[in-house]
Amino acid sequence: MRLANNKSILLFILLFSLFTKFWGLGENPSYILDESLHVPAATNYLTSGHMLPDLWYHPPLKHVLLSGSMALFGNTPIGWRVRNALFGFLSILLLYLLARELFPDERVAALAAAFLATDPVHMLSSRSTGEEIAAILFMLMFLYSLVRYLKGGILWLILAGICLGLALSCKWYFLPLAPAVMVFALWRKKQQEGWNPGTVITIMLAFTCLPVCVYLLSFYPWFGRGYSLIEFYRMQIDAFQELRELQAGYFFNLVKADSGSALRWFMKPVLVLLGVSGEGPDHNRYQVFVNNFPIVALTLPAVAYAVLRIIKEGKRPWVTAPDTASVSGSLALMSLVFISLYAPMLIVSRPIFIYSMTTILPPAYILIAFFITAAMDQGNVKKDLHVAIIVIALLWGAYLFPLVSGRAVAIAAYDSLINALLP
Amino acid sequence: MALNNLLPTSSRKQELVACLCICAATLLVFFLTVQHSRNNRRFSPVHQVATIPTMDGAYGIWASAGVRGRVLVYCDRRLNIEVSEPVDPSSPGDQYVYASIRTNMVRVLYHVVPDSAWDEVATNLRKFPVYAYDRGMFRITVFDGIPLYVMRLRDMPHLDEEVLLHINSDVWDDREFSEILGLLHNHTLSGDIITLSGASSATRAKALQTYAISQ
Repeated sequence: MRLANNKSILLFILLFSLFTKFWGLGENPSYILDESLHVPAATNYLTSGHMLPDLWYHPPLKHVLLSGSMALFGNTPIGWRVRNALFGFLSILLLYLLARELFPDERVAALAAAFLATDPVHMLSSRSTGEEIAAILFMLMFLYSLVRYLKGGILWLILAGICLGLALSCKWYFLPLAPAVMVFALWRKKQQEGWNPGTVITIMLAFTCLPVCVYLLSFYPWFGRGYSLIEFYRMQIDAFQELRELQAGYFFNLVKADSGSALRWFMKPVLVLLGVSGEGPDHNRYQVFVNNFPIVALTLPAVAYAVLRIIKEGKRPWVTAPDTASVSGSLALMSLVFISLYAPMLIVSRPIFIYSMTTILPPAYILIAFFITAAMDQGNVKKDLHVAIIVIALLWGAYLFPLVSGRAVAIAAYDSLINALLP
Repeated sequence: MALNNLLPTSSRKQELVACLCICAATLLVFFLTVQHSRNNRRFSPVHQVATIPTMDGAYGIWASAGVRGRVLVYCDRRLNIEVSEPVDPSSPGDQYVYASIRTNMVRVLYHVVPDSAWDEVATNLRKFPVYAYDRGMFRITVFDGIPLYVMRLRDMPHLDEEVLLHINSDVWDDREFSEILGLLHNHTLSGDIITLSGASSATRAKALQTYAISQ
């Protein structure tokens, strides 16, 4: 594939993303989703160290970031949402860069970026104040830095540790990811350079001390209430207990309808109607959470394919000449990330909501993109077929965009889709 | 270049420098955090005992003493943790405990319950498995994660730092009040501001004054 072609595809995806993240961002002057909790909590946290009215048992970096956004753009709808719009846009660019680092075939990067850009859950989350978008941006920064470190440059390892801390300071989802990826990094380094205690210690320090430092610093305003480190430790235990004991009944009824197993996210269409209002006889405004079906339906087959491919390639040496097409290391990393993020959501007893799937989307889309390109190669189809897939994905995303952004749409154009997908 | 194609990367010297930087950064963050925490605990420069007509009168005394980031030992049968926002910090009324938390005067609560009420309290709290029970104390989180310990006088642990001691004199008989004094004298508790309400508070305040002077 020609370089110019790649660049124009990426540009097109980024323009689409820019449009869907920023267009009409401040049009709705009222709070949407959990903004009524997030916005006052951001102000409270920086002024007093309190996280009210938001939930105290979530990490507080989101409050700091939202305060920054509001400091720049004011306590206005734009000020509330611009952080996620920017981070959502950057996460697509970073996913592209990560996939390009991982796989020699640039079609994988383009497809993965297109899928994330058109994902309606990602689109809606990028237009509100939820912390998932910041969390996945930091996770992608962490993975990108780690991959760059594994290819050379110790500063990338430092950056990876800091980014892991930032991700953990937004969401605890990444707790299982940290040890899994650390073991992966140690294992890859051992293959690369043999057993070197200095490298082991450096990686372990970067994966533990740096995230702990960032995490502690995100609680700096909370420490300003006089709490000690022991009290901090107990608070974390309390937060874990509180999260473990959460029941669906605690949440608003609207979201409660969406509580349940994370298994269905990648198995069938899921649509949660958050709101609908009439705009004349023929038009409605909808606000929905909907998964990116049918693309996400390829997730579990793509993971299975990746695992099979790793097993198949595992018979060969893992460290090979630079011109090899072996990608088992990249597939292993992405599969590990996907499984370590998704498996806890499957086994946890508390309710899991559809917006939580946002954090799993980047590895899922990279694996899907690889799966599709591998299928295209084996099916002996035209090399440029991925362009058609990207165009279809963008069209599908453009069709769903009004639903997730609360724009007035013709009822006739969406009613059948909504009725078909509503439980 | 896929991830399989890896070349030897950083030198041993670079790794050593990185390790040292990480350790230094970690120590610095821990130091900053501890300092920040300590700097935000403010105590009354003089020990004082105040009698107040009603329990909520303590709020004004704490506020005027400029306390911050403190442990409140609350000796009463009931603790009001019902909150209706917004709370006016200038006159919080019944919600003075919550207001003292929101204004960062108080960070941790110890609710000491009279022996006569303990069975009822413990029975109620045991209905919630999430409330941890250890060595005679229930540990609960209230409001936005504030630790609340509920216990009897006999289970009061030794507290290293000076506390705000807040007593409803009416719910403690003479024996129990002597126990409170005993906790102060044997340094299980030490309070820089002791507030006392209730009908018998004036006579008991004298005993507490003796303690305060001795400090």
